[in-house]
Amino acid sequence: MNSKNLTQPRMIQNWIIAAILIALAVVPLFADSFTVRMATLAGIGSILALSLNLLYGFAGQISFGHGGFYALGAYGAALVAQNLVSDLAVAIPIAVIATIIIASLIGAPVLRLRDHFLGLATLAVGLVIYTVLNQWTDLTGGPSGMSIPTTALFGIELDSTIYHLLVIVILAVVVIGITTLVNSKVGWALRALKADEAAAASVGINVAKYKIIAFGISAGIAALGGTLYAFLDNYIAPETFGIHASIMILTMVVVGGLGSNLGAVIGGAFFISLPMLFIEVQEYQHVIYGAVLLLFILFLPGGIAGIRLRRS
Amino acid sequence: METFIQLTLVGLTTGTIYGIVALGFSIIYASSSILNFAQGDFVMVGGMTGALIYGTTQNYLLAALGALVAGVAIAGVVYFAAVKPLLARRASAIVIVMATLALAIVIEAVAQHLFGPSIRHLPPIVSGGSVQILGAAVGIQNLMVLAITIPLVVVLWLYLYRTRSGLDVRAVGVDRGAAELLGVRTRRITMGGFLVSGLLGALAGFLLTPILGATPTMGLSYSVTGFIAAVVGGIANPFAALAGGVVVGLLEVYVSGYISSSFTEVAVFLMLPIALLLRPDGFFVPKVARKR
Amino acid sequence: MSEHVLALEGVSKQFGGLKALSDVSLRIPARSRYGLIGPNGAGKSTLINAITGISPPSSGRVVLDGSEIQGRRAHHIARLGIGRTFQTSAVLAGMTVLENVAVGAFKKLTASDAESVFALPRARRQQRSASEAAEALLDEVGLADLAHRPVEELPYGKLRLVEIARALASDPLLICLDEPAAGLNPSEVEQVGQTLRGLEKRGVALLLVEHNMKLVFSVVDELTVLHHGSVIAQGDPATVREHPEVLEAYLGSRRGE
Repeated sequence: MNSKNLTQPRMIQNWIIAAILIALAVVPLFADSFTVRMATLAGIGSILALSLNLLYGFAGQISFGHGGFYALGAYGAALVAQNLVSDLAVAIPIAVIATIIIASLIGAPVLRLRDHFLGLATLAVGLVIYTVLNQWTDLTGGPSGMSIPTTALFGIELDSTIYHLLVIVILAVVVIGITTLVNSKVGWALRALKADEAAAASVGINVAKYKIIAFGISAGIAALGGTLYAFLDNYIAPETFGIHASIMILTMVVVGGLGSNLGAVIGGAFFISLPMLFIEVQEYQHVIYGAVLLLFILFLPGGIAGIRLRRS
Repeated sequence: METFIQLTLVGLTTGTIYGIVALGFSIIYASSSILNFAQGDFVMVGGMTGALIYGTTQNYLLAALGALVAGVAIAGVVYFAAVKPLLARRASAIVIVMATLALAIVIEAVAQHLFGPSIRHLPPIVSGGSVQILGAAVGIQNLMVLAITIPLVVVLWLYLYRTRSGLDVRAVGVDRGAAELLGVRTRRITMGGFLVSGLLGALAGFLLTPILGATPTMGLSYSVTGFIAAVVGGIANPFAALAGGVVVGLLEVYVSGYISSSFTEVAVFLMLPIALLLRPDGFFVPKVARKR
Repeated sequence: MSEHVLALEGVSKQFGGLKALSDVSLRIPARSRYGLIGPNGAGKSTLINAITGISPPSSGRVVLDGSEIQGRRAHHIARLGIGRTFQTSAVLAGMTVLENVAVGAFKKLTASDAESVFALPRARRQQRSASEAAEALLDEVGLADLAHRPVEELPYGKLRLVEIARALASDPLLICLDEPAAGLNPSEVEQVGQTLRGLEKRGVALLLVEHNMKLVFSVVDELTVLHHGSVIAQGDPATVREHPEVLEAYLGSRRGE
């Protein structure tokens, strides 16, 4: 897309992200519970967008099926909550690690594909996950969904304010983690293979291995978002996680700006809140995702972050 | 044994319809290297328009023509709104696919709003049930599908392999840049590919609505199935893609008939990674040694 | 280090029915400068790809410093000590000039991925020294002041030097340069030539694929001439220049063009 975008996070962007996180964190001080829930959801949206930004923005591997990993996180958490203990401290590690393993296994063959074939393979992956979750009624309750009994951390029940803060803290950890990753040796490998796979191999980078690492970590972060979503409403249903979820996540990243964590945070927060920000939008949300995505592809391929960078 | 023949004949019918969708996919891919995710929506628009027109006029011919025109029109929208500007900008393939995907979502949502979510129906072309073949009952509609598809395929083959402009189309599919240098009008060909695919998609939609009904949200599922069929058969070769569609149709009925109907979707989806890993160029295409 | 840094024995490459390389053999002494020339389509890039593992040979042996490397994967061969540049400039978009060169030392970042992801001291130290070494390399090729610019901003001539610096960053035994002078103006070509002649004191051997004869003959000690995938002449520049088949190949192919 816009090759003038430097994919390295810049200091200013990080400060702005910090400011946004602080702003999100203080919302419960003065807002009603509806707004607090919306802000919590916004945080989850940012986490989802950051996950795809890592894979597509930094490593250059497209995924049209990230809704599937979002789903695995949510359903993993629900299964843990119903069968083990309804506690985030247990659900998060299990759901996230299970998703990373599944994603790595899927990724190994799928990441051999390039460009649009990879996109379509990941689309199929997302659809399979959705279909299985929707039809395996014995395990997942099918279309009627699953409930998550309590929202607790290490046995302590969390009210919506504390939960909100927890989500924001986790979001902050994700941002810091991704920034560290991108500046690390692994980050160099990912950015190199995005730019030119043959050149990356010529300096000793095992391209296949690093693609799978990116895919796995990205899926894990999306699953983390899913887990947090499950404990937010204490109820999940397959319809949240179909193709439209994957499109929503894609729109978040394209609109925010590929390769920009700040763009992902903003895009993520905005698009997941859209149905709540404007109630009338709820019916039309799918059209909006598609239309906005298309408009940005056509007219603003660098996303919002792209505008900023060009000016500075 | 009767069941097997019954299943096979049904599978051949739905498979042929998938094959026509896959054919449309493949024509666009072969003439522009673009994967068109709105392909399934061409099917949906054809089916819905046909059902709507028949619903108001009771005129079968009018409904058929309306469906085909609608298919071409929606394909034109996709081409002019998304594909043409992105090609002019030399956007990468993945971006164009994303744009077709986005447009497909928009088309589907708009259709849902205009037509409502309920299933629409069309009566079969020739009313009056079925015929006995090899001891199994076959709907006349199913035979009509085959009867229409076969001459279609022949005409297409003659066009691509026996005419000058068909040669140009194949050239663009092999190497767009080289074809351009040789003076082939690539944009015309890409546009033509889209319009023909729109026609074919709408035809498929019109043929299947009497059998399966039409809903506004069916587009994406046909896109995915059609794409899988095209990849299994061989996406660069329209006839291989058609054959791939038949394979997918047969797989669906056999899985549904002998195992369980809830596994059909997963089984079809699984064909994609299997095909991509074993024979990325397609099972019905001769294996070509690749120069890196 | 064995006497020859690279030895090719009977290397052939077939693409379907097309035989791109036939029975190519050559030896590059350690720390020397070696040239590979031939008319267009002679198979030079194919040979480089065969050596570096991008497109392995159909038959024959490729021996790097005494070990066989044919059939191994490209990144593995790179780690064993071969750096390269590409015919179509393969700089890494989205990264700065400094990062482009620092990445060249990737194999020296021996801290594990996990250490690196958690920003543990050893990993950070290694990245820092890779960056410092990269700065020194950029200084050598005269690009130090552009170190923090996005690499896309550089003019074409300077991109070549960045690629060469990247190839050198891993302290390889051998670097393979695929037409580094293509598209450069005479003063840029001279700059490349200077850099290449300076390789000897770094202890790096050079395999230079080039069309620019002046550059080739001013840099290499020995060369091989390829034509239609086969070796038609080998030896020092003076000998090869006079070789009748070589003249024939160049004059003949020009007639055919």
